[in-house]
Amino acid sequence: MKNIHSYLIIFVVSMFLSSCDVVEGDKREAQIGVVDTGCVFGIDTTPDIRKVLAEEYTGFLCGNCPEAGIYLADTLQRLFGEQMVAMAVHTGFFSIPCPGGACTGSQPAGAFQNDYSNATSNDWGNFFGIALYPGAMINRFSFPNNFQFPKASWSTKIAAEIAKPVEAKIRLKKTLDQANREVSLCIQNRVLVQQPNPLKLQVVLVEDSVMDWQLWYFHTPEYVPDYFHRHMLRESINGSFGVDAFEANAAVGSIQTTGYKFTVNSSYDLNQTAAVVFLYDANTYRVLQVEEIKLK
Amino acid sequence: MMVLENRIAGMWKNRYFPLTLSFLIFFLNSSHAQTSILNSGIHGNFQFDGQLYRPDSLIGSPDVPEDFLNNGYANLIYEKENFAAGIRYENYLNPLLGFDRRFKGTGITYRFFTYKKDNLQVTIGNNYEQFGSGLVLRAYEERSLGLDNAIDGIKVKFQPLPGVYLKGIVGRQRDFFSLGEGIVRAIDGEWNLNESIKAMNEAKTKWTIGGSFVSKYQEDQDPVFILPKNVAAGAARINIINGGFNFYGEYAYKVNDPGMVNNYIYKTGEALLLQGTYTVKGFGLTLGAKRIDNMNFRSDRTATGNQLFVNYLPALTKNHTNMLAAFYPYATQPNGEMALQAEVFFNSKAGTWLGGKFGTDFTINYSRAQAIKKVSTNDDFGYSSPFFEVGDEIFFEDFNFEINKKISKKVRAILSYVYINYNRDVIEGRDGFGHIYYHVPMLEVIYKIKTGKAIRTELQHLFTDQDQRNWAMALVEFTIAPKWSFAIFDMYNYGNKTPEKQIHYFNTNIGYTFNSSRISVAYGRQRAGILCVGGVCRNVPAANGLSLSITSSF
Repeated sequence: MKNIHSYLIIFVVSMFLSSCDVVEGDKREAQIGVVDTGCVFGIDTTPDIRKVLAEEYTGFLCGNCPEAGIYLADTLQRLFGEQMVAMAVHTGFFSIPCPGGACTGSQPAGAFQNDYSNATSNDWGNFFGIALYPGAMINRFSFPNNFQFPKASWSTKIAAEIAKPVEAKIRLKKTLDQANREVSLCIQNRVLVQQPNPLKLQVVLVEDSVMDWQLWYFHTPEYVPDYFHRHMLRESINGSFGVDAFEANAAVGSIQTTGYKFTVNSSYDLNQTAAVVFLYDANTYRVLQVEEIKLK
Repeated sequence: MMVLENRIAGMWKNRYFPLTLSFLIFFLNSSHAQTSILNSGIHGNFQFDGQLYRPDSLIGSPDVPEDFLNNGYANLIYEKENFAAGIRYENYLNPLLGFDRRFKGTGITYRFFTYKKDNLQVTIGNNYEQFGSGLVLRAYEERSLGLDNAIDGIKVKFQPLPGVYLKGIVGRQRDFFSLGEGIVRAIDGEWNLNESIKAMNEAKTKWTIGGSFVSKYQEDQDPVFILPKNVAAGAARINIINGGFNFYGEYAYKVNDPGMVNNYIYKTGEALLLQGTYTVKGFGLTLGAKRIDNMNFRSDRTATGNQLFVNYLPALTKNHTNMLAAFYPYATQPNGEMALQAEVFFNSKAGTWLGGKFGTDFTINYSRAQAIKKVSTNDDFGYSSPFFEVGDEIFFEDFNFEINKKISKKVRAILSYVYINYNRDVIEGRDGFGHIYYHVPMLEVIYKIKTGKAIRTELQHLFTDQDQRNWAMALVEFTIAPKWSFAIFDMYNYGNKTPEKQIHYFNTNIGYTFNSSRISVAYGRQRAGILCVGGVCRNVPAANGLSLSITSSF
């Protein structure tokens, strides 16, 4: 009996001790976007403007979402102009294609078959604990407390963020090989206000006006087959949470020049696709600056 | 109109409902089970905390669309001989302000059954467990923080020899109404030498040594980093007791564990905890020291806040219970800190100059937490840190003393003083606020009117030039033991730089206790702040309203 005990213990201990991975050598995966080290920018003569990321969480089966989406993409975009960058993140219960998620079985046949969630939208949804639909994070400020806002407060929150000092600047330029759908995106980041935490750089692609089904409670009929989904987050070029850009306390005037080469997915409409680039505080997730550039 | 969704709650309910139902049917539907219940033990407890909120723009309390929020819990445990089983129902409709909104919903969040035969004990379901001081594993519930990281799986305890205790556990951790993505596997061995070795059975010095190994598994789907799927941590500990002397030491080590909290660095982690106490009649001395370096350990590398902790890093600071002294509590810094604490207690006997007619107790406590030295390596390891070198930045410093004196047969007075240096930027993860230095003198007087009736008063004052500046507080509590208590207090932020924020936080409270149940009703304002228990914290938002609390056990 004692021998059985000993063997059992040795077996369990050895099984556990093998459960340990030490990552040797290179610790980074090859990215979707290959880093482009050949980017060069001239002297910057453009004004320093603070731009705000309005990140709406939505789904095609969220019947209250269309009014919020239209309000963001039309009313608020007109109101704030280039100082607001809108992005619609499809994730969660309302984004699960039928059958599943919010599908009740009463949806028209063939509707809601395309999955517009993606690795990045799901990572963000899970990490930020998105529970408010329709809801938006405005520059991701005040995370993790009271950071998801209902539509009614978007305009005041965006205006408040715009009114803050310009803390960083992002310059973008791109070249597109249309035949091969290859993009070279050059990015120059500059620190305008010293930050106590490191900063990260996030590059994502959004596609505007993707036509597909949408549930809309205040529309007749409720199931809309040709709804235009605006500013839809498609994928990240440099991982769900970006890459390091600046260390903590980087001096005012510090510049990072980087870039990515990538091939645009064949299902995206090049005319409607843009790169959204933002710098955020690696500890608090607060977005300091955002820029958008159309690929074509 | 907006829609709030929590599909996770539904999943949880769906997943566990059949099991729970079977469990209840098994006990309640068979005649044999009915007899078993009657002849054995069922016990449980219930807790309900509800609050009716009302808007109060002066203190910045957020608008609560539901007006009323509540947290509710009920445990039901059945025990018979070597068998036990239990469930817990939780209800957050919707969660009280300050609790994570992901708790929203109701469901059975905890269920287990366990049996013990010979030297083997098996538990299936949700498990709470702690290895040593918890440096590599502690699964526990701290309701006031909204923290419950129970491991849902299988736990086996085994005693192969006298004095040798083995534990093993495999499972996934509770994550609100769901389970975390990672799998936790853990084993622990403890050897009590005095129980094992005959010659040491009666020895005055008691020796216990132990070791733990914990490994978590999580898939690597990160597009940027090559992440370790299996992350292991191990610890060794020793406990020596001789009369009034007690020494405990534990060292823990963790392999590369890049995650959200450490900003995806690949450096290994280390922790050392040393604690010693010496007590004789009328005198006690406690000394503690620790070093923590990159020891955040969670079963999901993307988890933050109080979510999915595998280990527990104790704070070596005093947990103040007086209101003003507890304004700025310390939260352990898992990415690196060095800390020490010393406390001396002594009793001056009755009849001496210090002790007076009835004797006096004195307690002096000092603690300090500071950064570890970090040298940036400009690579994926992040930094290196010489083990014994301390960084320049002070995170927290606390000096306090208490004099507890019985003045007459009817009057007892407690005079205390607290000085705290609180690094707000580090502890709260904020920018540009710097340190808060504050002093709090306090006087508490308890007057026994007659048997069962007493009046307790507290006077406190907080002096500081930072944050909201000076506060004053007064409390009167009247107790008619064992049933009734009535309290009224006011905290007044008279020193606030902004005149309109010089606010009274007035509160009243009535409590009624009968047998093992208690109902209390309170009305008043709650200041925004931080609540910490053992170095783990949560934010508490400002609130105003009527709260109701019911606790009961059977």
